[in-house]
Amino acid sequence: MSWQDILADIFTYSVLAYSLVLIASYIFIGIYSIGETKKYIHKNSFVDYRMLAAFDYAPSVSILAPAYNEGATVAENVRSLLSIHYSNLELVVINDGSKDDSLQKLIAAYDLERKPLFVNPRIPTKNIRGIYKSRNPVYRKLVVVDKENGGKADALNVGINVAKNDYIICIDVDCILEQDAVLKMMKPFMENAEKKVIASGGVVRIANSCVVENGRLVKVNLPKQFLPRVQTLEYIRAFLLGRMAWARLNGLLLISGAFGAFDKDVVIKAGGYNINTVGEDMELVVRMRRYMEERKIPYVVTYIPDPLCWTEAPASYKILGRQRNRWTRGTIETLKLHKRLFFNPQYGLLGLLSYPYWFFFEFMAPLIEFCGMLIFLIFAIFGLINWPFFLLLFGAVVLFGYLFSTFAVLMEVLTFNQYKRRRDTLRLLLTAYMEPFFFHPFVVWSAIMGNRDLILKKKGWGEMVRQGFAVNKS
Amino acid sequence: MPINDLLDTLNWKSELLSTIIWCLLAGIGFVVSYLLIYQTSRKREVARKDEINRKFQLLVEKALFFEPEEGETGNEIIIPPKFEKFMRKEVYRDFLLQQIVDTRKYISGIAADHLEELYLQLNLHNYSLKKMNSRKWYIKAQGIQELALMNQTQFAEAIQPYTNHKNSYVRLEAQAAMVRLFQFKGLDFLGATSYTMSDWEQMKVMEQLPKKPPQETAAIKEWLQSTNQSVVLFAMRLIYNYRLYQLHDELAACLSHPVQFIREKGAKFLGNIYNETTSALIIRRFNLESKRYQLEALNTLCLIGDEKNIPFLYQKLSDTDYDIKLAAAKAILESIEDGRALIAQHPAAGTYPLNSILAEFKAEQAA
Repeated sequence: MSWQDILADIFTYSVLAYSLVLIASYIFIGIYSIGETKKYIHKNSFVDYRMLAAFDYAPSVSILAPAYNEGATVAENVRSLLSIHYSNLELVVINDGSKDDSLQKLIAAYDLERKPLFVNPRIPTKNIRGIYKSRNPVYRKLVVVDKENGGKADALNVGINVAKNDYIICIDVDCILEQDAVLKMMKPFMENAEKKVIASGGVVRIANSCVVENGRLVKVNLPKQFLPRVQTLEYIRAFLLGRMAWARLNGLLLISGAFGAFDKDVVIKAGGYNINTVGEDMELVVRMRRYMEERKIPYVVTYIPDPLCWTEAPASYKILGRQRNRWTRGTIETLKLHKRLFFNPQYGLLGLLSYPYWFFFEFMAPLIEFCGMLIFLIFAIFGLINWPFFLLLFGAVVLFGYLFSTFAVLMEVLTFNQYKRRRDTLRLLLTAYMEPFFFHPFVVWSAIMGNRDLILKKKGWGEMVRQGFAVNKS
Repeated sequence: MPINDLLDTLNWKSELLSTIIWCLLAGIGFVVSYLLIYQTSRKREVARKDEINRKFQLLVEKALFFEPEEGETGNEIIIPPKFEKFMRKEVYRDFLLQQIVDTRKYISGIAADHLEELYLQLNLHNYSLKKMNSRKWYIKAQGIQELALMNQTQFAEAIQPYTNHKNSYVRLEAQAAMVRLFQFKGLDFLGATSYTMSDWEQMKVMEQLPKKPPQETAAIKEWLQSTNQSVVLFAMRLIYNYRLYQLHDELAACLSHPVQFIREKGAKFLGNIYNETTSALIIRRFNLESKRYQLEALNTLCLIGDEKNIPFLYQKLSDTDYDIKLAAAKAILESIEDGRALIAQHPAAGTYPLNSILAEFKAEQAA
């Protein structure tokens, strides 16, 4: 046997082993998530959230909503957030040095006046230019902070410094929250008597083609366009299956930056958001977990599968590419910052399972897949492919993906059933069957570009252009 | 083995892949079929339930506004025979039961009594009891909740053992049920519970209690001595919520509790029932305690607003922690008429953060 043969064998069997482990992990995630979702739905059947809404001693919450150049919609978005059902609530909107008239729109809409409020700079941030509160007592929950531009992480850190309540919910200002979103997000913090709940993640759903009235989602529709629709499916898989399974293991590494609740004290002790990464949401959760592990404090990161937060997904390949590029860079930066966790038993499940999973199957997967495609093309050009065998293997892999997506759609129908029409279910299934050919290769390519940009030390988010929701003003 | 040779000998592997493909196709077919059948049957069920509900609402309205005819002494509401037919099928029985229970949550008085009568007439109490004896925790907890909501005190003895059940949801429903049925007397489980009561559980139990304070407080004194810290905390919350001034000394004793969060809560809760000794008790422990205790203590001193605390509070303006400085400054503001002037006299008043704090106070007072 020549060294080339040996190398080829090592490569082949490594990729095979990798693929089998990946497939096994998907199967495990699919099955393991069922129990947790069932348990959540059963638990929910007893809960009267109205009780928490009115209870004086419910945990105090500050919603932090950073805003940058949101002048077109910021006043409406804030109105929607102010209508959330919860008694002990404050809303902190942080204007991150917008170049448009975001601040002016807010001042006009809510009769804001500048107040010399003392802010304890627990976390270092860019300068605050002013803090505004409303003259109208109806808007007493609203605080608007104007600051120098510093990015989302810096804006959130300012929000943490300004927030006066014990818990923070970090959201994107253009997200639409369900009226009982805060109630459902805060319950986990209250109901765990054995371990400290340090963070709770929420589901983000795609609002494209949904009907929004006065800042509230009144009708859920499946997105008409293919790209948002395939992302809907992707989010169902990720949130309903993936994160439920990880939460059940207490191995969740990521809480969406669009919607997550945190214990403010632990966030501050962990150092707040890292302004040097574009994956600040994931990086914070990993750091908070690390903080608790290093001090041997029993803790848990929970997750709520209820659809509570709706956001607009990219509808063009250009914007989608920027988003996925950023997600890839954020993942790699976080993994790099916390490489100490890699198979480190000192960190328990975090080091032995969660981190390695993300390293091998979130970071490495697009790279391996891309290399595989290149090698396939080279072999094909040189006539080295056993086509019948290849087609069988390809068919098996694609069909496994179909089965997983079909199962995810079934879980969605059995649980929250947001898309009630038979037609929508069939469209989702059809989208799943088109995904491997019209969506997945683009996502892999975006991830490769993300790797390239990271090596080229490219920073920043890229411009995320939004179309706005289908608005129906009554 | 060289790749080409490997490929040449792949016959059995090709067969394996073919088998896998057929299995996957069968799996997809099965899931899709299940999905479509499920959607169809759910749609039918929803339509059926809507139809039943429309008819059922008439029965509920009849029950709510029921008045026996003149000369009649019975309280029986006449139930149409078709409902007996519905009640035989579990899915509709559950649905009707849920409608009754949901309606009961929002009404009280005679209308509630009539609804409870309807519940008994339809024999749903036995169904709830059967649920309570189920092995599945969520069905068990549901049964307990139904019995409590429908005021079935005759089953209290059956519910009571579940107040110490290993499943937290069953336990919570049983505890809430006992309190709902017997108010403060229903809290007797606190003396025996071996599990920690989470904040959520405490809140739910508290919500069932009446607005008027308890007559007897001997049990609360016992609970303050419990080895179960959550029971101690619950007792402290009772004193705080109902402003039981007569238990001030017992609550103040919690400031010396071995557990830190109990001491912190003690500093907070004393703010609702303070007397002339409270300030001194809180201040005595101040420098030994955590930051959270210190902040709660300063908030309590702010509520008390006693001039005698000024020297202590003024000293805290020199603390290195900005949160402590701010809390002390706020307490000074509440304790004397011109607190701002006093703070302005501090040697560090012209520098950050005191100057910023003063500016905030000035703006508030101007407003």
